[in-house]
Amino acid sequence: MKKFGIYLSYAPTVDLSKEGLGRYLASFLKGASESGRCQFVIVCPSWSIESLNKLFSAENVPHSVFEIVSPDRVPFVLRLREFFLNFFEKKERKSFKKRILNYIGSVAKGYVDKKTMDIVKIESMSGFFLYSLPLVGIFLFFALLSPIIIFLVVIFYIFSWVFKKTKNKLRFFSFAHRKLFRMLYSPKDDGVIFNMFQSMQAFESIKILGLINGMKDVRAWYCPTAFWPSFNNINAPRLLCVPDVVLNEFPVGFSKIGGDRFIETYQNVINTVQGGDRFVTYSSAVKWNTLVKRYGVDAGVISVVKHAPSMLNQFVDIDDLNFNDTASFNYAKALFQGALKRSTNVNYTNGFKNFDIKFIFYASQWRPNKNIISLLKAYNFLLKKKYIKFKLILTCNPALSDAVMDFLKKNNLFNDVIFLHGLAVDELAACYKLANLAVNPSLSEGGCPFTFTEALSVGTPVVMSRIEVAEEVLDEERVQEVTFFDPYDWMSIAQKIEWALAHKEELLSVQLDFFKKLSTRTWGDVVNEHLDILDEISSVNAGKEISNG
Amino acid sequence: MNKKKDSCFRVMWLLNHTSARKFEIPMMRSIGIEEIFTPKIYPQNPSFRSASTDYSGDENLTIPQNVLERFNSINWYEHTDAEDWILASEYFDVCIFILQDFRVFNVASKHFSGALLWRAYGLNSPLSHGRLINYLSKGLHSKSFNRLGSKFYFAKAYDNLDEIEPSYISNRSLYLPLGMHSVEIVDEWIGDDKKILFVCPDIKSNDYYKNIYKNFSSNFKDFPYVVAGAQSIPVEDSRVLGFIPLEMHQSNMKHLGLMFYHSQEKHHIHYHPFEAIKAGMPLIYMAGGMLDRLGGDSLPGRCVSIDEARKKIKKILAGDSVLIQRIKSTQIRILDCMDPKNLRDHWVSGFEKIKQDLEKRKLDYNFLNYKKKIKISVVLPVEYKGGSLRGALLFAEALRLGAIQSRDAAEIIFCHIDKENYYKKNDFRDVNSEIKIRPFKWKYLDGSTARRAMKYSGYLEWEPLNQEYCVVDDGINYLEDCDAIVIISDRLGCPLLPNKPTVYMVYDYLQRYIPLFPNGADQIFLDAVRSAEKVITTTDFTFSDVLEYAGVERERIVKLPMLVPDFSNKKIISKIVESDYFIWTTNKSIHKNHLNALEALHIYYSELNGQLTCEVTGVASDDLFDNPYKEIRGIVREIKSSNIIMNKIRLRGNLSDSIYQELLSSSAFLWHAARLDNGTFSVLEAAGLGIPSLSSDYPAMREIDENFSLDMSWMDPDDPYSMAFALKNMESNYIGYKKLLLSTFNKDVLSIKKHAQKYWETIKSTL
Repeated sequence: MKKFGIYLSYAPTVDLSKEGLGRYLASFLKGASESGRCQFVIVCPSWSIESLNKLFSAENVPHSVFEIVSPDRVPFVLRLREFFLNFFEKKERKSFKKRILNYIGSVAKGYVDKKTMDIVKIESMSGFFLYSLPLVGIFLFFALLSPIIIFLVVIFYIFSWVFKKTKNKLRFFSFAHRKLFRMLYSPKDDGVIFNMFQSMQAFESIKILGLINGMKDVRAWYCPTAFWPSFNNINAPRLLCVPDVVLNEFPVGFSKIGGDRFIETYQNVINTVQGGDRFVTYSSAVKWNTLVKRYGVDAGVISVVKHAPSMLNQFVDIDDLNFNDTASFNYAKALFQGALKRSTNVNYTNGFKNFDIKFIFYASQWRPNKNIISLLKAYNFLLKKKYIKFKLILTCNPALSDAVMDFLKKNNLFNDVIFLHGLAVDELAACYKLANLAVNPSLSEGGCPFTFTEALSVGTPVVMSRIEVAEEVLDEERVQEVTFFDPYDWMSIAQKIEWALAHKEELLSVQLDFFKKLSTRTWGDVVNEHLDILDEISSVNAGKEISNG
Repeated sequence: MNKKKDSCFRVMWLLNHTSARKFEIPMMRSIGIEEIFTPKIYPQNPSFRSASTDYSGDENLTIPQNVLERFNSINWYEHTDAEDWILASEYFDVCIFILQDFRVFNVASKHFSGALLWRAYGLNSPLSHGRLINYLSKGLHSKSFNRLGSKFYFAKAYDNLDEIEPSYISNRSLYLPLGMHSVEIVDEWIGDDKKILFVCPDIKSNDYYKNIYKNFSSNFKDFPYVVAGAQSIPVEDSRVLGFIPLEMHQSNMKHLGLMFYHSQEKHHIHYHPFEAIKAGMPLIYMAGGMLDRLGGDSLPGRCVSIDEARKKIKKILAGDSVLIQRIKSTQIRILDCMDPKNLRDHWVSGFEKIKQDLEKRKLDYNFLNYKKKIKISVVLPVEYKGGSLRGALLFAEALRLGAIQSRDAAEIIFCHIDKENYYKKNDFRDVNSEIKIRPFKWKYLDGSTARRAMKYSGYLEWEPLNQEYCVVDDGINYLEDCDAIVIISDRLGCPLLPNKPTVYMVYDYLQRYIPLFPNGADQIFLDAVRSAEKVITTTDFTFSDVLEYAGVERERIVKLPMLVPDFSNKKIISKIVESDYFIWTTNKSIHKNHLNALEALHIYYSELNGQLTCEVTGVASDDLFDNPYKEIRGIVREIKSSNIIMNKIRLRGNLSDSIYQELLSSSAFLWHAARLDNGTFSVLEAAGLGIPSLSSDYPAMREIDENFSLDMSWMDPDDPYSMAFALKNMESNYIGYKKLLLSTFNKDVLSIKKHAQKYWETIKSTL
């Protein structure tokens, strides 16, 4: 069987199950298993193995289709970090004062409980007197010690006061403390650690390259993202996937997040693209607008392989022939109920009793390309001028955007725009299923947003932005007519939502027909198309080797 | 981007260097490229001292005569536009150029569909081509290089030139070596004039050469020498020859004792050492320079120190025939590297590569020719209402109509400041529904955030020069969806982030004539237009201010016809009607000349028995008497003290377009009493309704009068009596003026449709 390689070079500490690319990889390998045409060798840094194995077993990726190869040992500093992380996570982080008081409290409580139990058993007065003697002794003891206790309490409070007053002078310790915890829990945000990770990655990629060069049976290599210029050092046929270069299209928005760390990432993307020789994208839009027009890549070396649809029905469908639809809805409601309790405005949602609530749903992180302010403007208009009393549920964290928070505050929307951040995939499916309408106002994506198939897989209609990547996939005029709005015009978003809510059945019927057609494409097809390209580039290379003699 | 019209392979060789042409044109011909265009116009500055034109190649060109004539009339170094390159794409496959102006390169990178070869002969240290373009583009070049991709080549004349260049240049190296048309030795050297020949041009006008001359004259002060090379500014040293006729130059090459070549630059060499070798003249040169790469390190003319050079020169001048012979017989080795025979293979393989790459790119045409909708945003940067708002909306409308007339798919977005309860729906009631209205707030980015934003926009080398940059925050994507931004006026709080082509519509520079700002306070406005792609004005008066006061190059200033609101739905009243009022349009700006105007009104009513009522309109004009500013308090007090006058002046404030038009159409005349500005379109509105105007006499208004044949009446804005008498005259004669206007004024000239395409094409040319 043919063997192809997949190149991964994630930075240390990246949890692949939380990366979109991780889930894509899992779907890809499952598709490869369906196709049965080849096997994949995944080479990755030593620190990614655990995360990859966890991801693949969670996603039920068959082991027969891949093997993972990486350098032997995880660098010592990473193991040290792991050790500290475990240490801090095991300890309950309470203050010293609290711990002492807790201890005294628990000893005292135990003593009082025991004495209470004993005292109720005494039947005679003499017995009660004798039993009380030690208590009198204790009382006298504390009475004698009371000046010392009072002195100690006064001293303690004086120390507390002095500490408070000199706190600013001790800022260094506070800084060191913060830095230590940032290094442990959010290492990528720490400049020193970020640089250290970069060096580790560079060193590891040399080791990985050594491994790759030894794999003569691997015919060609595939890299699922453009973040790693080291991929171009592989001396064998290479296929680079460029999902998108979103920073290019939202330069000001991204300039405000991530600091200069993003510049490094951006430069890596440019270097990777400029050093690449064969490319694949998820859409023609990225092929032409990004690679050809912006980076001057020859169109002839870029293939487009579109995604297969992403479905969510399997997470909420109850397989019961008698009442599956009702059961599914009830199950979804239970999941939704749980998710509501974790909203960012939990004071409001915690006691919310109506789980038949009508709502519009947009599943997305907060990013400058997600166009959340336009959606909020449209929603604000619909609620306050058209009295469309649906709620709007979003899955991003509003605290990440000052603009979002300002808008909510200015328009008093905290109780109508609900943020369910960090949903598990079954909760996500439940939200889609219960929503009256899914919406996606995104300004740009690498491929057609999954919103369309994810929502329709659970029977919810969708309205979304007219952007090139969506037009490529939803390519029927009638579907476009009922589905799309102009994402640059919030009134167009509002009008389409208003129409969709009033014509839900009509919209759903048009979209479901089209959804059926889309559903015929599988991840097996996606992998097969990739394999065709890998076959092509490896056979060209084989040809070259033969002609070179 | 256009396809080529035929399959004939043609090259544009956009250089004028005489010696380079003598080698490169025949070289290209020798490898089968027959059709080569060379430019006929080049910059007139000292760096082009070795340039000349040559028409001989025109005969071979099989392109239409009119196209050739157009190409011959273009200054390809400094002033080209999109149309030039689009046309060039129809006939040429390859363009070889040197860089003088970044804008030319930027436009070519967008619109020329063939291969672009930046011809590199090496630059003086510490310059490199990367540094040069960074300087010329102010750091805005990397996007152009990325866009070009495999269409761009760094056509190096010497194989080591790219080793000091950044990767976006060195990765695209193509070795097309420079040689000499012929390396045949014509040894006529006698050497009887025992002097050193040293070549050093432009000693007084170029610091680089000044230093070389200084070092040479200091190192060899005790030797006899002459310095050749053209001098733009004469040097007071009889040994510096300056420009000499060819015969004298040939005589020098024959009789002078030797040539000394100073350069130790690894990436740059002059032409004259080769000339000396060819003429049989002994060459003494310093080690460490490019001659080492060409001739090795064992030639007897090579010197590792000035001392060694002095000793060898002394011997040669003393007639040491052994040394002379050794040098002469071995230095010819250097010419091997300039021999066309040895270089031809590089040119063959270089052009094969270019042709292969072009073949691959042919696949791209279908997509690249697909016309995406062009989006232009028109931004009103300050909370303006009244005429300024109307003017800005007219601009947007002109672009909308112009795009339709040019058959371009376009979307126009009008952006205004998002200030609560300031702009009302009614303000935009007449705006065509295809123009999208976007409220925005100014956002300010500090230097490092601005740097990141620019890098993500593709400008990798850009560095901030200011502490802050502003961006238009439309709540969507900071106008990133727009292809260009038009700012109506130059009133910005800090520089705009330069990641989009920006055009400024500038009305006036009143501060030049009226003390509006403290010294230097308008620098930010001046800097704004200096960085613009284009600056638009509507009068010659302002055009010259943009040129002389703002200091913008003439090529970037465009004068377009003034736009006037479309009153086509209003009928000119064909019957002349009498009226008992006239209209004074004003606002609270100082240049509106309120003091003189109010004094004039006082005189008109109190001394000249003025009969017509004055209807005062415009933003905040209703506030003129309630809150008069310091300068007019006295006259306002006087007017207020007279009931008769007060009854004759009605302060109407800012009126809606329809009410204003209604009021105007029934008036006797319009009074424009401002002291100075870019001219007002209110007189054109009035003329459109058959209403004559009495205007202050200043250049911009004279221009409008002349351009639109308004036959306006005039007054001196600095003399209240003259103004009052003019009002009285209008009172008596306005019927006659109305009749005159009706018979002479052609309303069609006001149509926005007539000018829309010019506006659109101006903006489109910046994309």
